[in-house]
Amino acid sequence: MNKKDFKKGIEDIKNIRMTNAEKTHMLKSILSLPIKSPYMEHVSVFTFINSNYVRIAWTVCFIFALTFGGTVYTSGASLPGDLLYPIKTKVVEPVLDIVNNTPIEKVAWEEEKITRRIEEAEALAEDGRLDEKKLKKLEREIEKNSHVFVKVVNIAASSTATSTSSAVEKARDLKQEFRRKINEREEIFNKDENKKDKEEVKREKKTMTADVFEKSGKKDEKSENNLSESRRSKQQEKINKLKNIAIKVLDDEDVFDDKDRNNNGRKERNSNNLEDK
Amino acid sequence: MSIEDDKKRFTDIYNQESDSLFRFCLIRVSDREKALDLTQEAFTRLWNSVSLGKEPENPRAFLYVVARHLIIDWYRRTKSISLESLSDERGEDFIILDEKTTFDIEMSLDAKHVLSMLDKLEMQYREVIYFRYVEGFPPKDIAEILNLSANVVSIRISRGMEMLRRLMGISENDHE
Repeated sequence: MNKKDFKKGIEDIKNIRMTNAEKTHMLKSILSLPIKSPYMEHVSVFTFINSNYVRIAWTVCFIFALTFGGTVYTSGASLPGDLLYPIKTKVVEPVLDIVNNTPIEKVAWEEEKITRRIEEAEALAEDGRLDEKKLKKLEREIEKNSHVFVKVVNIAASSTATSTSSAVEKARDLKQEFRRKINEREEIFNKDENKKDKEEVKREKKTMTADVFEKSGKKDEKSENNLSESRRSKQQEKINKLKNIAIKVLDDEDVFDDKDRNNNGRKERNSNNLEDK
Repeated sequence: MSIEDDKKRFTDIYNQESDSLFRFCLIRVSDREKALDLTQEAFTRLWNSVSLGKEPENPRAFLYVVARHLIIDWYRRTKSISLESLSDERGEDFIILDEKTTFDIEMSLDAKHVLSMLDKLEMQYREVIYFRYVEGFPPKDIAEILNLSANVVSIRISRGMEMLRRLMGISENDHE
């Protein structure tokens, strides 16, 4: 390649250009772009993330999550009359009502709610705080929840069963299962109470001095046993009352179902007789 | 200064530099559409600066610096080859004269030959020779584009030309 060819090659490279149409179109599109405001600062994403506002927002969110989460968690163990009890029943439980949305989950959740109320009553009774007002409130709650429980049981049974009779049977089984659980709770509660009473007497025995214990001995033990016995029976009465409310609702519903079924059977028989005639 | 004045000044720069900038991009990316995109992007950035009243002192240098960075970014995104192997230690003197793709651009045999010869030069001489002899930029402008001193550019031009002559078998006295 000589110098002339080199120069020619350079000239050829220089001839690489945009077409007039390309040039005009490009200029037009550049000039038609919106003009940025000189007052608008360019802020990169990283600057934004590291900015004080975002840090403050994160901190506030964190504190809120921590406080709210802590409150919700603590409210789980609250009892009627406690400060956090309304959060448990008016905030957390309605949320769980929505979260448990399948029929089977609803049955389990409604069952859990009734059990919770009974447990609360047991805990209050244990602390000696189960007064008439709280008892009435829990009664109302248990009655209301039992009706809802029956309703969701019927829905769950009809959604899983293949025929009407099998749905009724299924519902009956679920109710029976719930009755059994409540009765089992009663036995467990009684066992726990007996154990606790025995432990209490043992503890008191230890704290008493040997002399006093020798003197008052069997007499004290007897009177304490009587006291705890009467206290326990009173508490047990109250708890049983609550349990009976739940069981009564289930029983009433069964009776109603039976009547309904009998009426339907009678109607069917009558219509069959009429047809025969 | 009114917006119309800004537009006029920008249009003058555009008319003066658009073809050479487009050529610069096209030789490096070997894709007409991509070269048009890169050219438009470089001019858009210049227009943003001009419209905000921050016009660069040397618009030509500004355009080429932006275009070079855009090309490097484009290569980083598209090519699987290591950038380090193509750039010098500063990673800025990045020039692409990819033999396989360069010849896809429509141009004469002589032009292709010159480009292939340039490709054989060492990286540091390649761009200065291109800017000096193809685009006809003065050493001062090349120095600003490549972030070098004008003296260094002048030395590189003379050394680069010497190498190119040797490669092409042209003697200094050859007038043909």
